[in-house]
This record gives sequence, C-alpha cells and structure tokens, in this order.
Amino acid sequence: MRSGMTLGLVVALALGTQDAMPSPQEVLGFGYRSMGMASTGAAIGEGVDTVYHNPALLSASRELVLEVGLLGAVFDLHADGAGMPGRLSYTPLRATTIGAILPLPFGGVLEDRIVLGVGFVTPVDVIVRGRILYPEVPQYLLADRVQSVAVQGGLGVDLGYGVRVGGGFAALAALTGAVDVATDASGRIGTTVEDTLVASYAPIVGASYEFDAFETAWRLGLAFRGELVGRFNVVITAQDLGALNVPPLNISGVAQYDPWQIAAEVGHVVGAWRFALNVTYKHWPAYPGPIEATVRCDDAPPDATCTAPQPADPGYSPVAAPHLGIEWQAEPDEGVRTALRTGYAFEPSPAPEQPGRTSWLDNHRHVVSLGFGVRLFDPVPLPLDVDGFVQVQALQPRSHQKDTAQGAIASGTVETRGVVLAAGTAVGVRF
Amino acid sequence: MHRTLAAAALLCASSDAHASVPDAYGLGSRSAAMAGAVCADAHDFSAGYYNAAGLAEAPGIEVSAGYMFHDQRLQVNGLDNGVDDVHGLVTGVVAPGKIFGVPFAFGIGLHLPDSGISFIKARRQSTPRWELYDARQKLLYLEASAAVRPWPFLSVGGGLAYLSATRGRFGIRGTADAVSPFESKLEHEVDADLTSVRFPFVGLRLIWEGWGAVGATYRGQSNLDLELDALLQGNVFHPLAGLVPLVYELEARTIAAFTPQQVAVGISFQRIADLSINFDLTWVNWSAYESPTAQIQASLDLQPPPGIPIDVPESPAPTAIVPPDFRDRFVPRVGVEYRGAAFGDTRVVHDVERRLVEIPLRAGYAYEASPVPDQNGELNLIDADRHTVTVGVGVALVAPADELPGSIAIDGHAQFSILPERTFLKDSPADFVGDYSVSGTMVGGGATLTVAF
Repeated sequence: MRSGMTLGLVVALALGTQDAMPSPQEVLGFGYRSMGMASTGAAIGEGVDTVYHNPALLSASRELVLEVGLLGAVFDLHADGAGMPGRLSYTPLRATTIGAILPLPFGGVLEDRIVLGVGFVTPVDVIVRGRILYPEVPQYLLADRVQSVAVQGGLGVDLGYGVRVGGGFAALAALTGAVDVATDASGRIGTTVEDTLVASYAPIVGASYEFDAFETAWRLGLAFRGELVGRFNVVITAQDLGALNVPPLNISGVAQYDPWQIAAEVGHVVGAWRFALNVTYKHWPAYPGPIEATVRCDDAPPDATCTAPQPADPGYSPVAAPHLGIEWQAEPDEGVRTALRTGYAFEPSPAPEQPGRTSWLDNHRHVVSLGFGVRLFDPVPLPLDVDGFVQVQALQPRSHQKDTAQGAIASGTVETRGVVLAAGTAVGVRF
Repeated sequence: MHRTLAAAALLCASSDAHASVPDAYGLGSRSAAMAGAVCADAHDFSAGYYNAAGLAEAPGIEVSAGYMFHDQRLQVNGLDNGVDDVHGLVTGVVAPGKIFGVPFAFGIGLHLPDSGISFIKARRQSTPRWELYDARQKLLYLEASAAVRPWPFLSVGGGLAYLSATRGRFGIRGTADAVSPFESKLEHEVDADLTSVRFPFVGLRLIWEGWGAVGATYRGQSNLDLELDALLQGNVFHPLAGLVPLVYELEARTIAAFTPQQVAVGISFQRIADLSINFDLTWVNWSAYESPTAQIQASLDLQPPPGIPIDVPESPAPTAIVPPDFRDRFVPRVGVEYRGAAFGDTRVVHDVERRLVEIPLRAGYAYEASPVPDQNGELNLIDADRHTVTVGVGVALVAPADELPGSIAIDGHAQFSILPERTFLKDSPADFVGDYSVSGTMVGGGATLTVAF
C-alpha cells in the first residue's frame, strides 16, 4: 500500500508532461479551399491545401505565399438511452493556422519546377489533448481529436509531361516516460522521473497527371498518407519495497490515431467550373483502441499467473469515403477573381457497435460544405487571397444494443446522434 | 511513514530552469561561430532568434539545415554530474519579397533535439544539479517571424516562439493485489492537455550605409506551468484483511522550464571591406526566476481493520519553498567575420559582385556571469561563470550552375566553454549535501548547409 501511495504520487509527477496528440485534418480536413469543397484536393488542390492533400500539386504554385487564418468548430453530440447522459459536452475548437508556399527559384532545367510548402494548425489554447476516459464513459473520439497541433511540410516537383510528384510529412507528438521507485541505502524511497516528448512522423506522398493543360481538361491525383499515432506511454516500476510486489504500471494509451490512407481523385475543368470526385480508403483495422492495459501480462515473469484485465481489439473496420467538390470561378472586374465552392462527403464510421462495457462512440457522417474565395491580382495593387468555408457534419443516428451480459452497465438501446459545425477564413499574401 | 515523507519529498521535486537552446549554444553555424554577437548582423534564418528585423535584408530565399552537438563535462567535486550532451537538428527558411513595394520577409527557425521534443527530469529541491544546463538540451525551439524594411535605413521584425505547458488529471482505480501483483485488477484514465505557450520577440535594425548597423531586440519570458490532479480510488487486497478501501487525492502545481525575458543591443562595424566586427550586450532577467519546486496538496483515506499490519502513511506536510534569488545578468558578446578569402570568377548575384568560391572566417567570445547566488542553504542549484570561445569557417559556391543562380554554402563552427571552479559553502555543518566545488567544460560544434536563391 505504501508503495501504492508512492506510485500514485510518482504517476502524478510523471504525467507532468503527459500528452497525446490528435489531428484536426482527419476530422475537418485541411486548407480553407479544400474544406469548402468537402476535403477534396488530391487532384484539384491549390496552395497551402496541397501540403496535406497532395504535395505533388505544390509544384503548380508560382508565387511566394504566406497565409494566416482562423478556424473553429463546435460539437453538439448526444448519447441517449440506457445509462447515457444525453448531450455530451466538448470544448469547441478555436485554432489559428499558418501556411507558406515557397517556389524555389532554381534556374536552367529546374526553373519553375520545385516548390516547398508548410502548414500549421494550432488550437488557441491547446497543443495536444490526451483524453482517454474509463471505458464505460461515453465519448466521441472525433471531438477531442481536433484539439491538436497539426504540422505538415512537403515538396512538390513538376517532372514535365503533365506529371507531378511530391512528398512530405505530417508530425505530432508522442510521450515516453519512465518512473523508477526504489529504496535507497538510507531506507528512504528514492525515485527518478523522466519523460520525454518525442515527435511522431508519418509520410505523405502523392502524384498527379494532367491530361493536356489542366485549365481545359482532366487531372488525376493520388496521395498516400501514412499511419500517424500519438501514443503516450509512461511506465512505473518499483523495486525493493519490502514485502509488497508491484507490477509495472502502464499509464498508456493512444489519444490520436490517423490510419494510413490512400486518396484517389479525378478533377475536371469545364469553363468556369471545377469538379473533383475523390475516394479515400482508410485502413482502420490497425487501430489498437484508445486505452492500454494498466498491468500488462507481457511484463509478468514466466512462472507468474496473470489475470490482469487486457483491453480487447476494438474491431474497427476499413472504410472508403467518397467526396465530391465543386468550384465556380468568375472575374467580375479586372484583377479580381471570385470563387464559390461546395461539396459533399460521406464518412463511414469504422467503429463497431458498442454492446458491452465500452462506449467509444462514432457515427457515419454526412459532410456538407460551402466556401468562397477572392483573389486580387495585377493590376490591383493588393496581392491577397481571402478564402472561407462553412462545414456541417451531420452524424447519422445510430443505435447500440447494450447488454449487461456483455459488460454494459445497463441493458437497453443507446441512440447516438449529433452535429459538428465548422467554419474558418484565411488571408494569404503573395509576394 | 518515512516512505510517505520520501514520496512527499519527491513531489517537492523541481524541474530545471531553461534558457533556450539558441541562447546557450547558438542557432545556425554562422551565428554560433560569432558567439551569438549578431543582433545587428543576422539576416539568415537565425535572425528569427537574434533579431527578426534582419530577415528583411535577406537578398533571396534561403533554405538551411544542419546539425549541432555539444559535449558537456560539468563536475561536482571533480566528479561528472551526468549532465547530458546537447544535440539536434537545426533548420530554417527565409523568404523575402515585397508588399506594396516594401521589402518584407518571413522566416521559420527550428532546433529539434534528436532525443525528444522536450525532456523534464524531476528531482528533489535539495538535489544538486546544474540548473541552467541540465535537461534544457531536449527542449524544442520553434519560432515563426516576419519583418519589413519601410525605409532603407530601418527594418523591424517580430514573431512568436512556441512552447507547451501541461494541465491534466489522471486516475487509477480497481484492486491491487499486494501478494500476486499480476492478478491486480487496475485500469487508468487520462485527461490531460498540453497547452500552448507563446512568447513574443521583436527587434529593429538601423543601417548606417558604409559603416554598419545597430540593432536591438526583446525576447519575452515564458513559464511552463504544470497543473496536475490525481485520484486513486479502489481497494488493496491483503490475505489477512481482504479488501481495504483506499482513496488518495492529489493536487500538484509547479513551474517548469523558466525562460527569462531578455533585451539585447548590438552594433556591427562594417567600415572595413569584407570585415564585420560585432559587439552585443544582453540583459537577462534571471531575477524573475521563480522556484520550480512543486506545491502539493494531498490527502489519503485508508483504514485497514485493527490488527492488520499495513502502515498507513500520513499526508505529506506542505513544502517549504526556498526562493532561488537569482540575479539579473549582462552578457557581452564579441564576434568577427572576415569574408575576403575568395577566388574564382566574378559573378553578380542580387546586384552584388561575388567570387565563385568564398571562404568566410569567423570567431567570437562571450562571457556569461552566473545568475545563481551562493547555495549555502537547502537549495543546490549549481552554476558558474561561463567563458565561451568560438571559431567557424564556411565554404560557399556562388552561382555554380545555371540551375542554382544563388549559392550553396556549408558553414561549420566549433565552440569551447570553460566554467571556472566555484565553491559553495554551507551554513549548517549538518547540511545533508555539505560543501562542494563545481567546474566544467563544454566542447561542441556543428554544420549548416544553406541553399540561397
């Protein structure tokens, strides 16, 4: 028991730098033009958006761009029925964004071919939210997943003949830590606590091919984004505590998880209209679930009996999400180009029904978005881009048949539903 | 009981003070080779730290990447104190242009420790540690900045640097088996936020054509507050007592990774062709340093049946925080750069005549008086004055091919610091740690590759 107390204290200290990182781009998308078109962009993305959607398209940029923006989202999520609280409270997302495009002015055969891009999404008051509650507590994982810094960088290369390729990375933070408790020579408990915030990276690679010039024809885009895991793992070990045996205690879990995914998109231009049809495959079966065992049987000595509870595979399924985006452009005056955008996406839920003790809730989402853009250029002496969007995500109502025989607190039907409303605007300056 | 008190002592553990990695070891090889004396003479990505105003004078886009390594040999009573080495990637971008005809630029600078983004080692208040150098090596430095040059003689700039603090709660519940630990039925939850901490920096640079420039910059203070709540609720299984209910609550508040505000002024004398002689003076507000010792409130409710041999620890007493009483300090820095070593054909880049191969030579010196007072009581925050000598050399190929009309350069630097012996005498002859002497050396260096367009 004394060791238990000590460990409790130690854990508190260990978590002094506790963290885990979710990614907003997986839930809301990335880039103000793209978010106005239901997160399409692997083929028709432009500017900062392409750092995430397809870095190959960075190579189409010709001007230095610095973009800053504001992004927000509110959540109205419900879980009604057996043992459920009704409306679940989640902190709204308030974030600032910074993006930059740097066409590298090489000469010769490399002229106008290589472009760098970076993009940051920074919640106003949170870098990372690690919110992993006890399994029976109902929680929508998507709401906390947006509360995270998103960092992305990429490089696009125009190979000519309509072929572009690109690569980059997405990054977030993960935590590793160790707490060692032991009795020192004086009989006092001595403790060392170390924890380290480490970066977790995932690759982003993409390619595109244009049939003829894009202004009059078609473009195909393909992008791969690697698995991005924000895991925290603080292990507490205790030695030489007299008659008490304490197993390694793991304060561990996955608070953010983006599955590896492949986005395939076809874009088409007809006059002032641009269309994009996108299908994104997301490999959710590799998702290990948010919580890990506090006492791991893997740590037990060979001759020890281990009956400590171990989390089960959450049983997530792969999904393919279709996205449709439309943009209409006009030039009402010399040096002024405007755009109106809209889009629809269907995001199937990878989460299985939750009949037992866990209530990790997720629903199919219908995403409808609207957006606008204003671009000022020569002869207007103000080289600005202004883009904005509004996005409504309606969670398709879903029923879970809770069964106490499977560990649920109460039997009965649980109904889940909700709406996510997101909006944002950005100003970019070209120079 | 004594174990509980020891645990309480643990919670009185403190984190380390920090000045940023660029402050202690430099950012980018050119600036580091001049001992950081570049407040009036930085226009590469490192200007984001030294003086953001300098970004507006970058002639073209620059992309830089490099690596730095510092071996720290810091001793107590002649024995190595185990202060980790410092190493990590350094990278940055400068992108200049014009808005409304006014020169404008933005930049990003990053030091990314390759052993972690941030690292905290918590120790007791009385544990001897090199307060300014231990653990800081694993703290990310990331800044974004912008600058304008509204008149040819003036540029101004500013930006934000980013760090993170923590507030959160965790819980463990279930039944711990005191005899068969792997039959414990425990589970945990975490609700923690890594919150963003932004601190500003601003700077200006006045150019006196033909003579050089003067500069001034301000860097803001930052604290990384930790707010932690913990709840342990469950039972302990003991063969003689059965299940014994337990509730333990904890609140911990502390300040970590203090970075003091600073004001630096500098002059760069460039009257002699191909030669820059720089002098910087930096005021560092270490007197604002607050004790990093955690303030704890904890309570325990454990009531084993009578006759059961379970020691019930008492709740820890409040910690007596000892103020650190650091002093402000002024840090002089001197740096020299000679750019006359060049050969090969002449070519024009950004309206400046340059040679095919340029070999700039650099050197510098800095003196950092210790802000830490004598440690004659319970505290043992070790520090000593620091003398740093730097040298550096670069090789730049200017417009080497049609594909690269700018230049590609690699700059290297070496840095040697000596911390002369300092002796701490304790007031109490019964002091647990006793008197001791400290001293140390640091040897480091790095290289930065820059492609300029």
